[in-house]
Amino acid sequence: MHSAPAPGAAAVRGRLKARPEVALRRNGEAFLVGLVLVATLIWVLFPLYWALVTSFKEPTETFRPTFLPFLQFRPTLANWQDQFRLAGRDILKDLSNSLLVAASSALLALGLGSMAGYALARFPFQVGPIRNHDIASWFLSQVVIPPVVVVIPFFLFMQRLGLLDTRLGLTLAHTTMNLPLATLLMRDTFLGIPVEVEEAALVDGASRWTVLWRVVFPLASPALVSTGILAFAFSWNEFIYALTLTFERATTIPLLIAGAKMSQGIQFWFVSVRVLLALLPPVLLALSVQRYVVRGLTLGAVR
Amino acid sequence: MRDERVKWALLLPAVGWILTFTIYPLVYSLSLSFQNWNLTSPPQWVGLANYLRALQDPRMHNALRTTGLFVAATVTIELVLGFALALLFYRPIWGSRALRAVVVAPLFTSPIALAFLGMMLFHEEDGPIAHLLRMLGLPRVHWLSDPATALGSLILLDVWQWTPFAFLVFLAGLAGVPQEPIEAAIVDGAGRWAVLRHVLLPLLAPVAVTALLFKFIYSVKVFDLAFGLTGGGPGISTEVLALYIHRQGLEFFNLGYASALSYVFLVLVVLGCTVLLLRVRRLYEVA
Repeated sequence: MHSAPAPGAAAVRGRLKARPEVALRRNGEAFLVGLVLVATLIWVLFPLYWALVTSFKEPTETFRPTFLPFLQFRPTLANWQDQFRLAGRDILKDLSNSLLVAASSALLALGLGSMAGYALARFPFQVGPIRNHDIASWFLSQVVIPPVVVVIPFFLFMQRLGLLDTRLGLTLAHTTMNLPLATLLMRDTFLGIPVEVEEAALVDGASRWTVLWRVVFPLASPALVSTGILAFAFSWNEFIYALTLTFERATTIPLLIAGAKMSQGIQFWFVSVRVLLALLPPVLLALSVQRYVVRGLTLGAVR
Repeated sequence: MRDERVKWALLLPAVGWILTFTIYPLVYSLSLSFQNWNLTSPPQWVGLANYLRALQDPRMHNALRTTGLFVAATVTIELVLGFALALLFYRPIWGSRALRAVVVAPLFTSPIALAFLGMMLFHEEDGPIAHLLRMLGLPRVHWLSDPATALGSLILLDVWQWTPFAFLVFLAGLAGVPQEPIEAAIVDGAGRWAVLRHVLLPLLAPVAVTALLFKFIYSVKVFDLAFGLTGGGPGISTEVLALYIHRQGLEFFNLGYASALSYVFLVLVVLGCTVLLLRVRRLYEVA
């Protein structure tokens, strides 16, 4: 990288000393970095804060530029109460649909994905020119397909099978969406567990299943939980399949929000309540698996 | 011998699932694209007519342009901003850990919720942004009602949601960068920009490629945000590809034509990914 011999750390310190303005620049820099930090935090948090504040304002107060409860306006629970009184049944129905679909599709994807991930991590596959990493890339390539491309055939199949507007139909779609994620993250996890651990147990006379249940799964459980949580969050937020495949009985939270437009004008004080209901569960869940977020969004490509 | 059976028993359910629920629908959709069908009358084979129609459909051209603009703008802005923020905050500075946690929130905000939140924020008379602009004495902006700015508002919301993605990916990349070449360069008397340009960037190239590819894929699929915020309007100024295809298929029930459009879309996305990968790989082979 460099041809001249390195002058060494002392020389660097010397170079810094020779320029007294460096220290000053550092202070100015710290100030700037702090400024950027505060600006970024405001930029990120303000929209969420606005939703929260609006949900605790009287409807007449909605459009006033007031930000601080108690100081600038009197907070009220009226919107939350009215929303649950007027639309409580719809909200509870959609919440339970979201919960059920997200949980079952996450579990299904996790089950199928860990099996495939384990197979890809532990056994050599060779079918003609196709090897393990080709199969893994094939799973990865599923991400490229825009959902709108498959949503039309999906709609027709579900119609034929009588699964339109059922939680089962939507669960099938969401499992499909999360399966590549589960497979690739779990393959990664199993690759990270030394084979020797399993071999030792096998030599000791344990069966393959015992090894899987007693050795491999406990070691993989943090990854299993995190992957499941991410899959749950992605399903909770999913919109295009839900919009196409459900319309009354099996609708999920994103559809509850989208429906707000159809009522008389947009009642922002109610919208903010619904937005928060939709937003809080996945955000809190994702915060609990922070270390997995990047891995999840890049399907294991970046750790 | 037993392992041989076990491994296939473990792999095949997942493979079969994708063959059933993705590949089969794709094949079905390909055959639909050569037919005319609106659910009410029996389907008709029309050969390439749907594809020829797509070539001349001005609304399709508009969707292509809108999506192209959206993708180019969001990917560029988010990667640049995310990289800059990562450079500032990858050191253990006070508050940088809090920032890492906080930015997870936009990433996991449901896009449809964000769209409605956007309507509140961009409210042209009395939204908080309008109030701020008024306070600063700036002119009013027609965030959502002017075809010229609506796409910009859409981009802005996407930037809010996805800049954290680039930020976190670059942070992960920076954490893996070895210190020696950087120190060596500083010792050799390289300035900050030189270190950034000739040492850090080449080291980060693989991570940047990953961020670019994934963000391209996520951006090009955009649907929820446009559906919720503008519904494609005003006019068709924010009608992105996914939105237009969904309309043709599931609002107008031109199932054959929508399938043809989705195949055009799919081919373009795959082509885009390939070109990106090839170009970018060449870039960092040189560097």
